[in-house]
Amino acid sequence: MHPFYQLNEDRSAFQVRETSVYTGGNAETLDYFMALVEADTESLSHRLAPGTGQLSGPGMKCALIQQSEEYTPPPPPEESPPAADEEKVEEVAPEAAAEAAKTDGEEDAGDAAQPEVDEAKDEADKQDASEEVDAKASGKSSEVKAPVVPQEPFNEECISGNVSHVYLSNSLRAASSVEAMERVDRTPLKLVKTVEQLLGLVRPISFS
Amino acid sequence: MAPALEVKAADSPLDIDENEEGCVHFTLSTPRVEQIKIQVRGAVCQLIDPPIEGLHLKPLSPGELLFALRGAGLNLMPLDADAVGYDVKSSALEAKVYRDIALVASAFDLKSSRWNAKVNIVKRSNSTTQVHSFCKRLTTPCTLSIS
Repeated sequence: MHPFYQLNEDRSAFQVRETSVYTGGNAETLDYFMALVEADTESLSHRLAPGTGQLSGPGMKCALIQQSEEYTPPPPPEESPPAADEEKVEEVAPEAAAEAAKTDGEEDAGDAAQPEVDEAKDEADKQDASEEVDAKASGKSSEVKAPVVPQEPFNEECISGNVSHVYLSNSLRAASSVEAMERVDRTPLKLVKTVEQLLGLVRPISFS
Repeated sequence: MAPALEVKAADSPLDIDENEEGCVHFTLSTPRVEQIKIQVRGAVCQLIDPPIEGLHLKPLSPGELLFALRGAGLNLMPLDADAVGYDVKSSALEAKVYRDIALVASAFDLKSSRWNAKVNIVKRSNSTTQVHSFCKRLTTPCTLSIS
């Protein structure tokens, strides 16, 4: 899979499923498949094996692919373990020093550890303040930074048991009932031409 | 909200003779109008929703209906120049997709996908595709122009 090779002007995807209007009042019983119609020169097989079995002319082919419509959840933000460890060490250090002092019976140990921690905190505060001044001077702000949006991979591999076909109806044949394909074969030509004309005028593939 | 398309076999009482002519419901959602529903039966189209006076359930050809809708303030016939921020599909691909959808529309539900508008940002060096152009913004109201 080429993770970032997505759709362009020669590739189009839409959802398709067998209708249940004839069997159950068109309830949302069946899941949608994702159909991909693309130019042969843009297909995965052509990219993997260019010049092999290429369709002549403006060859187009259809396939049902594995990609789902749902959004891919973004990966969890990565934590920086070293920085977290340092903070823990700073927090734990006074307590550990106090406990050590109690166990050893030396009251001066806690007093000796506390000034060192205070000095480290003061230095850190000074550093943060200087960074804020530099950021203001340069006109930058941490709130202005645009979030980095990870690009979703597009899985264009065919669903199991399906291969690409020249006609969408042949691609759907393997994933639908015999009755549905009979209806497709019996569809009146007038209806086909009217739907095609309507789609050609509204152009939903380009504008949706 | 991007325009969304649904093409479904008819599921309403308006479908009276599906066995003879076949019937398909064409539903379009746009940023301005939540739902535009057109019933296609045989060679005629009928506007179901929104119930515009004079056009509601009037049998017309696709071109007549869309021109009448444009006259009523609903322009559903976009041009290439109306594409703002995304690439228009090639004419060969569009023709192929519409023909295939029309062939199976009487027995399958079809729905637009969010993936369709994704732009290919990684171009191969030997690719014949061209970088899509961002066209000028459309000023006509109630069209299929999408953000």
